[in-house]
Amino acid sequence: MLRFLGQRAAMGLLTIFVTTIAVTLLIHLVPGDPVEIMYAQSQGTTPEQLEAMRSKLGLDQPIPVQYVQYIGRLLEGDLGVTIRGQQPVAQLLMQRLPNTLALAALAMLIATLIGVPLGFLAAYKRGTVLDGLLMVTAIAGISIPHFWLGLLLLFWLAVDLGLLPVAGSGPLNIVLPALTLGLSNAAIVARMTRSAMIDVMSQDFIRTAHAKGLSKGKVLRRHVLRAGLVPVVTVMGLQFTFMMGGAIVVENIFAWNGIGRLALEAIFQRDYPVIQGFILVFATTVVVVMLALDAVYALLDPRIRRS
Amino acid sequence: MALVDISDLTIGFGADETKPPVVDGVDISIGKGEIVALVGESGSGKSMTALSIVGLLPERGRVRAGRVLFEGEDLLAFDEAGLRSVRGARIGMIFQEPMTSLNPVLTVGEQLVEALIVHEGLSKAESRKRAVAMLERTGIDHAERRLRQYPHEFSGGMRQRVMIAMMMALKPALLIADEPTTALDVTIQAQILDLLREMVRDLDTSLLLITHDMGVVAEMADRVVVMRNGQVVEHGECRSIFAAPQAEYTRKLLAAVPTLDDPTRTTTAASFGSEVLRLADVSRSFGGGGLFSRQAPLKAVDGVTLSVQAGETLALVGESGSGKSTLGRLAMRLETPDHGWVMVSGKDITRLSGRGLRRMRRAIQMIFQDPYASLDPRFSIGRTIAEPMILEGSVPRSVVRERVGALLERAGLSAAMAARMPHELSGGQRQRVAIARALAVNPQIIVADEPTSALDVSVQAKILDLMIELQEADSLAYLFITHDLAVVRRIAHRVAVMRKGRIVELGAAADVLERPIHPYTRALIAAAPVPDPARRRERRHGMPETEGAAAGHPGEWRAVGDQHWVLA
Repeated sequence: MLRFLGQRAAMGLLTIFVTTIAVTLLIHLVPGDPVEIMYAQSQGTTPEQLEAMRSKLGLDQPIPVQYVQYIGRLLEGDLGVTIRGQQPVAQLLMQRLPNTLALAALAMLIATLIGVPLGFLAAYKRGTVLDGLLMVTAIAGISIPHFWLGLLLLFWLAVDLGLLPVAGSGPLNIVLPALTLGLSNAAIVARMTRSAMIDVMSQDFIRTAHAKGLSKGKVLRRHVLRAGLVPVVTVMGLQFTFMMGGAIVVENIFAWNGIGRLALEAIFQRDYPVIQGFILVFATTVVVVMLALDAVYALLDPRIRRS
Repeated sequence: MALVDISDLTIGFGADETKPPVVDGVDISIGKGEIVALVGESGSGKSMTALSIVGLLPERGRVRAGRVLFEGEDLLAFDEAGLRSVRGARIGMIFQEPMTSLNPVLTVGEQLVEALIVHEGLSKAESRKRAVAMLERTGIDHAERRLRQYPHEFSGGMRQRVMIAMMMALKPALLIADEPTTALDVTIQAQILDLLREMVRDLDTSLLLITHDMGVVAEMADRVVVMRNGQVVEHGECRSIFAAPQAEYTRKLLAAVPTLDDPTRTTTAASFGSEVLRLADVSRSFGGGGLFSRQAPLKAVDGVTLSVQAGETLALVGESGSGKSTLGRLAMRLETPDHGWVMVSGKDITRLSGRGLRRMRRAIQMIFQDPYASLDPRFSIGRTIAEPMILEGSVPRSVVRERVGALLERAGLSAAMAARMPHELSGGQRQRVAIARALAVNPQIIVADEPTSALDVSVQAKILDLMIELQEADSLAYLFITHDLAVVRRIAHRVAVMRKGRIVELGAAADVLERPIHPYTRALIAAAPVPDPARRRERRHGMPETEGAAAGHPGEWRAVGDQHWVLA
């Protein structure tokens, strides 16, 4: 198992390494001169100012040199400073990251608590009206875009009923964005759980369990659920990364101060150091989460744990 | 009174009673302590009959009529809770696939104690003790430690032992075994059959053994019930059924069973044509060498030298993991050998690639075991067979169509079948299509990897006859890979016995099968069930760990007769 996790960790490091290259190149992928674009809206910028910015960002150096310098600074934990405000990017991102993680984790929890039991129920009642109803709801849930579902919830729960605050950063403010993100992912989790469980229910070892004279409930709890959760957990890893992406949209709807909101502002302001830092932090988070899920996966599946 | 008395059992699929039933008015009775074999080919309804006894029919299966009396009570009238108290406790059941019959995410111990806890209300500790005792009884060493392991840490034979321990732990009155050894190697099969017989005798359990293998029937059964198309065509004492079968179908079934007494094909090396395939000192290893791998590579094929001549069948015999399929793939150059070289029709193809290799593949074709998986489900039969010719490019379309028809007819099908899709065909028909496809490019040799193992015996016999007929017409050579010695007898001129990647014995079929020298060959032959109850014998357990084949020891070839060699 340690070897398995070691392999996954090595793959993760490789992913982050590739991301650093992509991040360095990013600035050059935009058509035109990045510094000119940055200052496009500010009137009366002198060529000297542009040149100063260029050398400050290191853009006057050859790309390989830029990359080496970037890695060097990265190893010291320095992600540069924001163009507007001259704040350290690393510090800014680290302030915002916990908010996004909290949002994604809570959403994940909601998705799991709703999706797994409903998917399991649908699998158990396969072919019945209940199953059909659940799956139609799930498809509807998947089809509704985040921003639309978010606005609906906002109007209903916050504006009409006044149960929750509309926007801001108090502890109650996380509920609406987490619900928005969680509900649409619950639909995906439910569908996954259903098909994984149905797959397990048709396996030979379920027939063996019945042949032993175990009750239906016991067969479901001990045999179906345990075996069926293995593929579900795998999908949840992917789900979490989608959730991080979804957080960018949802954070902006509810003015939740996560890194997604920061990133969007940075993109509009063409604040390259922030965008670069965001991509790197985002990629690293995804890699770490996937690694943690691999560990859970290995715990659930003895075939991996014991090898 | 009989322990089980099934009468007029009729089972159909779905609610529509006008559809023909899959089990049609079946009567079977099983006495106390009796072993009854339920025999039939696929689709005969034998498994459905067995599953209905414990109320485990597949979802759409419905019992339309009949009674299943067990200890005087009609099980068909039981509700779910009633059936549950019978399942596991009074009637145990083991299935064909030991690989999938156990839950991969629960330990063997957890799965063993479940039934004990449910039915006898034993405590965890007590049921564990019983489980250990049961495992030891089925011949599993270190049972205490084994309880904490997971199914994937057990071999196929060991898992079947676990299943037997699990189902016999509650001393059921009846054990239903549905093809319990079909997925196992012959030597393992022999051990499992011994174990089953011993266990049911000691615990005075009746056994309903479902099988398609007449050899297994002859070895095990007191009485036999023969089923066909959902109906019982014959039943009676095992000996009398084998000695004097009454029903036409039983006679045909028995005639189709290849036995170890059939004459071998006799020929001398001189009567064959030129050499069409030569493997010289080929080796192939798998695994190891990876970035993170610390395991030693597994030598699947280890220094094998063989040759096959035109018109000859060389049978490659061995159990799973012996490397016989890898050797077949090396001959086809579907694998590239690590060492040694491969020659087809005198040309070295070891290092060929791309176009050169494709051109050589016209001379060597392959037929696979599973006729369901080896045909593209979206290709019509005609397109499947025409594909190799079209790839060749030189043949005009109209000629292709004509030749597809001719090939189908040679393979014993009609030219009109070209328009059909694979799912419309039976297993035997599909294997004929696979043969026709292989013949499409006029190969000199066909590598056949267990081509009859997935087929019913009567179909198997016909496919073997077809292959022999084609061979005699065209001096086609076969490298015939199989685990079934009776099939070897029917088709092989020469036999190579493979074990752990090496050939341990090589010689004329008659010599190897009748005067086996190598201990492994002897063990294989001794383990093969003989379809004759009069010659039922107590088997020898275990497998000799032969000196020559021991790891790392290369061994030496010794001639023991005319063209008969043994690794010693």
